[in-house]
Amino acid sequence: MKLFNSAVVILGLVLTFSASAHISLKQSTPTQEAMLMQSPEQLSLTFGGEVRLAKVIIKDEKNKSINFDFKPSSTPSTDFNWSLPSLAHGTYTVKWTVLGGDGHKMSDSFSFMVHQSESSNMMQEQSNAHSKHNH
Amino acid sequence: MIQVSEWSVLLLLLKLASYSALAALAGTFLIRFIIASNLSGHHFISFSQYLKRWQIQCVALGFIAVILQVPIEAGAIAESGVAGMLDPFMQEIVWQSVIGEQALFRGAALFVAMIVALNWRINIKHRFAVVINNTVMLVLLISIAYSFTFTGHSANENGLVKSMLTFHLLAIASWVGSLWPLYKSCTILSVHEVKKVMHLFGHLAIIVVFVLLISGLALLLNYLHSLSALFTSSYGQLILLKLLLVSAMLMMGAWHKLILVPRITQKQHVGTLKRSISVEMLIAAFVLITTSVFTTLVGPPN
Repeated sequence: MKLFNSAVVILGLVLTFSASAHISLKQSTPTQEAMLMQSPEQLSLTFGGEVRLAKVIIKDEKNKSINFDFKPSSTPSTDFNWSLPSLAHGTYTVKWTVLGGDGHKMSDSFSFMVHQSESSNMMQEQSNAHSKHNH
Repeated sequence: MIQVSEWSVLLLLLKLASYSALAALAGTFLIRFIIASNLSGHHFISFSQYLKRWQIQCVALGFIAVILQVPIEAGAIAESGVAGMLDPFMQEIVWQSVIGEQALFRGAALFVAMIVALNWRINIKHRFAVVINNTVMLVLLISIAYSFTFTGHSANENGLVKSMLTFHLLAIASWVGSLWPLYKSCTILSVHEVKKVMHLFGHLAIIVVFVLLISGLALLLNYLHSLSALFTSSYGQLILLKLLLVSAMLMMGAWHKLILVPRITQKQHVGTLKRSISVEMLIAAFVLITTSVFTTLVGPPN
């Protein structure tokens, strides 16, 4: 196992050049580094060519996974959409893994930020109303 | 920057095993073809029996690589350890992709190759049976080489490019895969028989090298759209490394043909030739490793 790990490290050191891009993520909603004033209703990914979607994970800044209706798809497509639950304010990272039409695995990630979600707005309003009532 | 994970290394080793199996199968076929009508006697029988065993082992290696291909690809995609290899969703994705098609196609070709190799009779008297056996094995070799075009950078290319790649792969496989049988011939055959085999191999090698260079040049022009890409892109740099290694093999081949082989009968021993072939085998191994790296981890520049 030590030999195997050493081989991985050596190969990693040797291959310090850039890999050519295959099919890449053409467009996403939310976009990369987006700053949203409210929780996004949908997550959509558009690829440059047909891919089979193996994995999409959304994690918050505490590295906690967000549940949404994702299922791996063996049907090749360029566009994928999912409804999202209401997200609290914070930074989220979307990590995707696909199998391209040429059999190459590709994975990447992007982040977006939610400044204020509807639920947190409501909670904020309730909290304000509650504090006013107490006064 | 390439992310080299344990899975990348496993996929690289899988590709290397697949290339090695094709090379060993093609090289053994070439040597069998040479000795069939030019050698006889008990040395010929012993060498043929060894080649038969070797050919069966090569097909078995190819089979193991095919069987492991889908689970390892599924594991690489799942990124959840060994359990990911058995994930039914990931396996379904891989089976329905070009990787699944490749595994089925190559697996079927290797299955028939195993039947042909097991049923190969060393002393076939009927010329018709020899022709049938050789034709079937040649078709299988072309099919196995063609299966490599299903995935990777050649997956979306036209028929002409795929044909070029198939013949390029067959040429390098025949050359590289001949070295081990030639090395073993130095141990099993007599000095005069080794000289005869080496002499005939030298003639066939000219055709093999011609196909290799012409198809290689055509592929180079297709994948690299400018000369500068050969030096500036990682794919081009790996091609340069492969060219360097193949040039070294060419020089060694010429040295064998022009210097060492004529000297065999004069010196009455094959020790120097045997050592020289083992050095050429080492370079050939680096050619296969380089090819595996740039077809698995690195792609042509856009």
